[in-house]
Amino acid sequence: MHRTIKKIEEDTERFSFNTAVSTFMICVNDLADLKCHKKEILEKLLILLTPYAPHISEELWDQLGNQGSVLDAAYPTFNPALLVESTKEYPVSINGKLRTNIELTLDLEQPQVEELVLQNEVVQKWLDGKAPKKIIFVKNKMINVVI
Amino acid sequence: MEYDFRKIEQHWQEAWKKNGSYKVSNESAKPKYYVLDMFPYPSGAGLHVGHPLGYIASDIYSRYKRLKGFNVLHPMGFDSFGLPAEQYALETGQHPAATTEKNIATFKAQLDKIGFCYDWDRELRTSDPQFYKWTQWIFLQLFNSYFCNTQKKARPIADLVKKYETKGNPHFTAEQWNAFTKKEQEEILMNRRLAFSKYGEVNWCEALGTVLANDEIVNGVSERGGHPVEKKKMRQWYLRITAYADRLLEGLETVEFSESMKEMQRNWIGKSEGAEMEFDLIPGPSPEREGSRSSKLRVYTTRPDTIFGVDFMVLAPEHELVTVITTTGQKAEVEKYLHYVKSRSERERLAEAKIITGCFTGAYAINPFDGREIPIWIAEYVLAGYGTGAIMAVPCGDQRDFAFAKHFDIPITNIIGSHYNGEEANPTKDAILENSGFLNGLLMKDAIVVAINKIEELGIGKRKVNYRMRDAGFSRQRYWGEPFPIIWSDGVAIPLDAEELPLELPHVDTYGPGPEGEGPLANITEWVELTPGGEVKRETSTMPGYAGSSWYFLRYMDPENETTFCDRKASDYWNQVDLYIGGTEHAVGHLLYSRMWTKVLFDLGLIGFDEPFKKLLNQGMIQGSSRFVYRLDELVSNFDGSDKIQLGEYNFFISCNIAMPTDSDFDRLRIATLINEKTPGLLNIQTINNYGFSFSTLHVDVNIVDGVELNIEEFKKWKSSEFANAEFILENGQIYLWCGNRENEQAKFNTVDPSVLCEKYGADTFRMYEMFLGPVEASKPWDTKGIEGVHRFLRKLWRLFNEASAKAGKI
Repeated sequence: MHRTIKKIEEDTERFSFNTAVSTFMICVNDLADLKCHKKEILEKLLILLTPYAPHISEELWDQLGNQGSVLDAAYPTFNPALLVESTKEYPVSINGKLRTNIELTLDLEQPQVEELVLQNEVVQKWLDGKAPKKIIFVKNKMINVVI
Repeated sequence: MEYDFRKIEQHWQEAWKKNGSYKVSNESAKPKYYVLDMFPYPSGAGLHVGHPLGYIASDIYSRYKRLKGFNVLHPMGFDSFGLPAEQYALETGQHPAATTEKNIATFKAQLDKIGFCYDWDRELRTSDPQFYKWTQWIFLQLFNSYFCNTQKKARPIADLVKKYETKGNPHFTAEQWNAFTKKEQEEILMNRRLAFSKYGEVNWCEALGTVLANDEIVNGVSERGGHPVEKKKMRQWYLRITAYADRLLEGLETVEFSESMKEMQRNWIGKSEGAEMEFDLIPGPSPEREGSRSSKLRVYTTRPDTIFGVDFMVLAPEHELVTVITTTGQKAEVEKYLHYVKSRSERERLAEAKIITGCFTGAYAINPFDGREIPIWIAEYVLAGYGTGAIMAVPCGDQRDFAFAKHFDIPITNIIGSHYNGEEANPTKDAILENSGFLNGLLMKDAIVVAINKIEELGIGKRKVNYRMRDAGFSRQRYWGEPFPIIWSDGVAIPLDAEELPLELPHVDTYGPGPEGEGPLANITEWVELTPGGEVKRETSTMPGYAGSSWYFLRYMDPENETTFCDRKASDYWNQVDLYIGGTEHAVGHLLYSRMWTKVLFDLGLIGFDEPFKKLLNQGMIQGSSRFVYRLDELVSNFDGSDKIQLGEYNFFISCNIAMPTDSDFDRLRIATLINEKTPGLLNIQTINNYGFSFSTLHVDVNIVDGVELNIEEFKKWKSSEFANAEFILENGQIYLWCGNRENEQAKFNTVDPSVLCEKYGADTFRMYEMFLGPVEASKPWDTKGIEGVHRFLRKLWRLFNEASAKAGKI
């Protein structure tokens, strides 16, 4: 959500309204996929959307039980700290061939990573019960399992 | 719950109106922000999809700024004086005020449907007497001011009068001034006023019955209607915008306009620095020239560094020296050429650069530095109105001079060595000069100053700054504009008092022109003649379309004020327009005039800023792309064309890719079979390969088109059901159309009414879709195909919230 706030604000400031519309679409798709129903997040989205689609924003704002008009709501601010990525989707290769992806938090070190990789279904299928010769882990980049 | 956008949008538009949600106050502790759209001319066609692009962008930005805590002024109004309403009045006899009123009502209804956050309490119309009262008042400020060349600003003309009365000027003493008659004094003052009247050549358009501004003429014909334009001498009003040329240039450095916009204004102002110098003429054998031995030829050049490369001179055919210098031997030739030039319009003379014409006068000018004799020619490409009406031609450095020299076999002097290849001219400033006397060995750039210094030293010329811009014509021989608050008495223009404003437009019975090219107002004798016999009479011209728009942005700040055009407190608070959005077509018209008016009002201490628009954003155009449907015309025998079967009457419409397949050969048999399915037995399938089909394209109203697909049901109802019984040869169940851009098509079916889209998809969808089309500044074709996707997005958003509240309800 903070990424969306930042992007919409930047796009609007530089009159790049077409990219802002795309950002809204992506954001709503993501929220729908996540089945996100948190009021505080949805409210922020409405305020961002108000300049673009004022009628639906005002209606939904009203339905959320807000007092007053969305026209005068306080524009949400984004927290830059939250924009730092905390996880990464690592590509996992087996003998150099890309086989799957695993999402891991960035603070993990080699032993924890090895443990999690070996639990992965796809990796287990390729290992077929054998132990790997080696697991190469390059932080923030990739994982390679050598059989 | 369903997303019932019609109900929601209507509900909130009414609620916002009832609650005064968009009312803006001049009293606020918040920081201000002023967002302005170039206001529209309320044409009869109403709003089309091109208009709202900029309006939506400005609306989004205004609402965004409001959410960010600004007090935002975002008004709307109408530039309601203008030629189309008058043309319509001429044709129908309806008063322009009535049609304008009606058109504005349509515009407002359309704008309201899109849900803009305008404070309609601040709406203004330039044709409203309460508005044009102040346009007339500002005109009087311009009339009563002059440009002080030492302070470089406008000052009251009374200051100048005081100076003349006490000190005189270089041309007359104080005593002489005081001895002048009132009329003589007024004539001198008229030469200094910022709004002034003089006899001038104007662009007279017979068909429109009016005088046009230079920027209302495109390629030599009127912008509206494409009628021919000719020169005519008439008393006209002008704005002395040339006095502000330098400040208009300097001001560009302080505003955020696009570089191309700034460049357009710079080019229009056309400042060049160079030298004006005089050439001695060689006395010839003609006795007619005896008396004019002392005549010299004055030439303006921006490139005095090329003086040694001058191989000939060219005078405008109208140049006063032509008859004086032409030798007896060349007289017949020159006269023949002058006769030819008379038949040519200015546009033809300038535009047809490929046809080289000219005539030698037989006379020579002397190069003051090396004594070389330079032949003097006349040619139509040199116009009398620009510079001195004479140029020095340097063929190795100027392509037009080069072509002229080649055409007439005039020897070319090369002063730039290897930079000149003999094939074409090279306008460089980076060559080292050769064959150039005292300039030899100098870089051309550096030689410019050296040459000017030498010219001044020898007393044969001086530095001179030239501007391409001319003073702006400010009167029109029309009805539907602001009347001038001016009375003429014995050839002297007398301004009305401020208390007499507004001078309202009188009612006229006919909108046709008055006598001798005057405007329609000249026909109302009782209004014009203030004394019996008409010794004292009113000015009968009206102000041009750009008068009201030159200052309207100030009136929005204080629209109700009855005592002044805009209270200083209000203009100090709102200050400059922070963001101005509009098309590039106003680059050299409105955007220069409004900048000039702002500077004058600033100079007179009436406002506190001298540039009206801090940032300008130019929205692109939405091109109404046209759609065409193929119709089967006839079947012609391949061999000799003798056998024809007319098929037009059956109205067979064929999908684009069947009629004109791109990936396969044209399939006669298939089409014939399809036709026979619709009308059994019409064609003989056995012989079909001996025939060829011919098609025509029919321009279809884009309102009955979805992307490239024809809405067949709507099409059958179109044009009073002309095609109700048409047959359709489909492709994947559709009639696909051919797309093209035919801007000048007579029948325009490519205007889409935004209200129709708002009705169908909702204003929110329409707003987001217009933005989704691409960057605001870019021009793009209109296509409704993607609007469904944007609409689905809003439905998805709606569902997301409904699920949320359903979930909240359960817990």
